Amino acid sequence: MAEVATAGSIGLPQERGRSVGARFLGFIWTLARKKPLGFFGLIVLLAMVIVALFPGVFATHAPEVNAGERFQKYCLGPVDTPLCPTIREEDPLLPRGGRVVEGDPSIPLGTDQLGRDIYSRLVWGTRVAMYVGLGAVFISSLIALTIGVLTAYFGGKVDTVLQRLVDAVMALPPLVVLVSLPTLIGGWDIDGPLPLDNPGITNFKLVIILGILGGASGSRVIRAAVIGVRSSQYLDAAVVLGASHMRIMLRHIIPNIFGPLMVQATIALGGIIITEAALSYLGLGDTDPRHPSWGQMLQLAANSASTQPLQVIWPGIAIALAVFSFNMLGDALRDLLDPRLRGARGSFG
Amino acid sequence: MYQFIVRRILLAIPTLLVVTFIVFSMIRLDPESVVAARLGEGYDTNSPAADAVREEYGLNNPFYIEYVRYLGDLLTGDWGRSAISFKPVLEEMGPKIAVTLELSILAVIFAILIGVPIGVYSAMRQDRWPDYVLRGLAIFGLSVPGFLIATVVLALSAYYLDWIPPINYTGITENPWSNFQQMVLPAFILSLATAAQVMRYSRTMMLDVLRQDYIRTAWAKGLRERVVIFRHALKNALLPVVTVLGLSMALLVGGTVIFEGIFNLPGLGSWLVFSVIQRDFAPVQGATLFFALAVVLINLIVDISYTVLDPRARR
Repeated sequence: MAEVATAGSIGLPQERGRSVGARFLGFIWTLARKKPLGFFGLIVLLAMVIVALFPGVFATHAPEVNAGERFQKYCLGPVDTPLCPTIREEDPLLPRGGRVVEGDPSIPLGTDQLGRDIYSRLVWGTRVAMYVGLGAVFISSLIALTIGVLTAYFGGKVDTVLQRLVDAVMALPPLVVLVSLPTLIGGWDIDGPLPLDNPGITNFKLVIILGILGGASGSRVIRAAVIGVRSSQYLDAAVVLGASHMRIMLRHIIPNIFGPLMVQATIALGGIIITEAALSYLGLGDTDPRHPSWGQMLQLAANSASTQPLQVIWPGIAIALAVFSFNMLGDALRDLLDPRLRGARGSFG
Repeated sequence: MYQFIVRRILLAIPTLLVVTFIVFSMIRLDPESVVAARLGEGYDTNSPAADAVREEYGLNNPFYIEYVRYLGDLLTGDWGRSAISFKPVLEEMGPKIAVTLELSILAVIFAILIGVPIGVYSAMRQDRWPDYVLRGLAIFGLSVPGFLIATVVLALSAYYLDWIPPINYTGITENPWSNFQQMVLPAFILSLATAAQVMRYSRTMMLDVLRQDYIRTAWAKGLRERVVIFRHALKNALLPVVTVLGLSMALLVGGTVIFEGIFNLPGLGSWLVFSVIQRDFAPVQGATLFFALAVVLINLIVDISYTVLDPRARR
């Protein structure tokens, strides 16, 4: 007779009458009304997910092929102003004058040194950023939820031991681990060593490693949230009704810390995208040319800065827009969902 | 208070053990790749040379024996030997630590110098336009990663100002002034994210303090704004900012890895990246361990200093 113990059947106030979908839409409406910047972040997130799912629809070229002519377009304004600089040195890769204002409309932002369309690479780069970001956030949320709920619910020795482990993992700076770990493990294929310039890390491995590192720090937030609800009367009621530990955790604790979990995941997303970009910037990320990363594009642009300074702008805007939007969404969700901070002073938005 | 400090130090010991174990295990996840890195592709797995490499990295014995030996080696200052320069890791690491330390300390100083005054000013003008502008800047500082700002600044200055960061590094003992000139830009850009965090936190803390009764008393006595803010409010508002500084240290330390590469600084981070690319295992292990130890130590110092500074936390 385990089903007797549901909150609804014993008459506890439960949000009855409104379906999950209606409540979700209501929440989105609240977000749009009260936190316009957070709503903007949500729109950007959705747009980036759509672009990441169907890059072929938005891109005009494949990310790894020469888009045709080797020409560069980097004007942001009128010709012969600092916004449209001429090339100083003779660059054999560029047509005369080094400045192409009119071009193929399928190459709106010009090409990089290898003749690849920058716009299409930005589009495919969105897929990399979203794959690594959302994948790592998913794994880290699962880990954070498991460790956080177990340590806070059982406390005592479980808590002490697992928290030391969490301490140790948190002491490792993510970028340092990501730089060193792939060298020490899977930097080598089954068939033999990879060439020296190939660090051998794939985006999949990146997701796993970032997920584990993020899970450790996320578990602190979840732990604090569980401690917050642990002494609630509805948990006492569940115990009195004879619910098992498993049932209490799954049916009563986890639904009640859903807010902090979402907040933590959204805030972590921006950080993970920065870390991925930093790693590819160092040339130590996934170097498969079919997986262009914004960080990798930034590095390439930085190398040609003395001739085409404005090429760094495009991947820069992509990274900044993504991180800014997700931070704004995270801040807005925290203000709306986290009851401990509701009405707190000095909210930022 | 002493009880707390002792307890806190004792709690750091298991953390340190786990950290060393993680770094120790990294090399053992795929031991043959270590041998392959030294001897090249298609080496003879049974050759004496392969055995010698295994012996050097301690891959022959069971891991628990090697772990104890590894801990002993760490404590006696034997952190392995670079396979490229053939120098002991610890000896090579010394001068590089100094560079990274200088960069981090400068960045922390900048973060405080930028973050605290802006945060306090923003709180004094709460919900008026200076507050909005400064908070917007802080959000910008948190959202745009430092290496992106650095890249854009360097790209634009290389083209428009004909300036690139110097390739040769000048040590602080050789010529302090040109060393400072070289350090100031990377440290400033590195500090921006931390400064933004410090600003947001000191603003929140300041607002909290400004609402307390003793501040109202100070206003009621007719004291000037300068006196109320600096003599009465500031001291209490800034204590918790120490915590934020500590929390952002791990981020800052990780940031030095990429900044040293961008600005040609011969620090621990650029050495780590170099060793990774060269597949030189002992320095990779050594540098990773050092970064982790530094973060543990910083957290310890922050926790203890907080207890010393704030009488309420001593209970």
